[in-house]
Amino acid sequence: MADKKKPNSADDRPQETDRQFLERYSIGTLMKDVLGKIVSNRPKDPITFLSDYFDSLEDQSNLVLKARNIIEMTHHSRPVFEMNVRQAYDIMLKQKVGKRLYGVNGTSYTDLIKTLCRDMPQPVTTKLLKKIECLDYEAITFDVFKSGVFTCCVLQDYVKLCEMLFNSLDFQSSGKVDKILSDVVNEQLKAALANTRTDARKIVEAGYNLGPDGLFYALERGMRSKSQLGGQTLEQFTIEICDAFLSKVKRLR
Amino acid sequence: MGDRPLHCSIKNPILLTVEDQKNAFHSGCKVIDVTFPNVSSPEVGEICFKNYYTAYVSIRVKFKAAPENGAESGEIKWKTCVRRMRLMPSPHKESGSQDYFAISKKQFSFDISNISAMRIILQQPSPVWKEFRIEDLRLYRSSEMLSKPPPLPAWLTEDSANSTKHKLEGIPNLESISSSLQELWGLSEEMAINQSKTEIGRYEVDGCYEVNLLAYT
Repeated sequence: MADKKKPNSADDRPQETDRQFLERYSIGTLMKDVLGKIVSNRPKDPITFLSDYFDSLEDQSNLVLKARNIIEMTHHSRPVFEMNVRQAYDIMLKQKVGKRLYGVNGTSYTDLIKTLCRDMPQPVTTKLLKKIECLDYEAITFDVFKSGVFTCCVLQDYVKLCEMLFNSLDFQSSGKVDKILSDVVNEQLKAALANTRTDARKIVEAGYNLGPDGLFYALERGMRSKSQLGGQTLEQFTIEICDAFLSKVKRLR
Repeated sequence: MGDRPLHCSIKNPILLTVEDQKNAFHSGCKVIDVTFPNVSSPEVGEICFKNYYTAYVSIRVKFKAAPENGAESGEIKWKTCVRRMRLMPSPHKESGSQDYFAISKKQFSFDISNISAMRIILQQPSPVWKEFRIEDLRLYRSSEMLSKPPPLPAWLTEDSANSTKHKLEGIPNLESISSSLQELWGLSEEMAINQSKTEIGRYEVDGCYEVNLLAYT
């Protein structure tokens, strides 16, 4: 009997210890979480996603960073984005604000906005905050939170596009763009954005002005003026183009 | 043409009959009286209406009394402006019975201006139809502003064949610049649509939050 048991227990123990070992560190739940996130977010590069996720698990203490990592898991155009924002909000709700008071206040909201905008030129972030910032002690509702976060994510895309546009305009790859061209382009964009959304005729006109034909005429006019205004760096260019975007951001105050 | 309506008062059509107890019959002739109470010098350029089984229409016009007659108004005659215009090619048949008509200046015998009253006479000789009238009668002033319509915007008239030839010196990739700009435009609009509309619940008075300054109203 004892003999029989021994080989059995020797076989059983490794299996049980394995399961117990995994359960001790709740690896099962962890794996389930990661697989769930991969399926719902569908990242283009799952391996990088996995490594970023496990990296971010170490930032457990900082709720703002945790929230930011969740928000940046997927592109803002996908429906899963809204769920991620909700999850981020829930995480930030655990922030201690005062004596026995937990929630999202102006400070943590501003911190999150700043960290989401870490790759943008500082003037752009300052101007954005002027529009959507909240006072430190104010309670932030989910609606305001979602709108602010969404604006930041779209701005991230916008800034990347600005860089692409800069590279297209910089024909000699000199690192600088002719100020005349930059002004013309900026003007066209601002004119398109100045129109109200509901006027169909203005929308078609704006589309024409930004299309190759309208742009051709505008650029031709600009180049004919022959004035020398110098060049603009990428940062200056980005700041100016972002003005058009920021003009559309609704002021909270 | 239709943007200068003439204000007039249109009375209900009156069936003309011959009052005779023995020989009462449907005359097939109706008259619509049109007066211009508030208009000082009415002049009619166009008359529009929808037909309802009327075969012929005539328009008679009464001019204002000429002042050179002195104190006497004299005989004010009715002058026929449109004589028996055929609306239905065959009064017994359906064609033209519910058509829309617009009688323009060219069909008037003379220019209708400075009139005091107008009569529209409807005739329907066929006994087939129980009822006949005209609907939605509207009078318009003559429009002198038959000028050219405003020029079409550039984006409508631009010939797409010419656009491919646009090549600026020094700007090799107009298409990519254009598409980047359009994407930027799209992103900004998308962001603008999703802005929060909720009130943040601020109780600031003149930019400062002071409990003692809060008012009830």
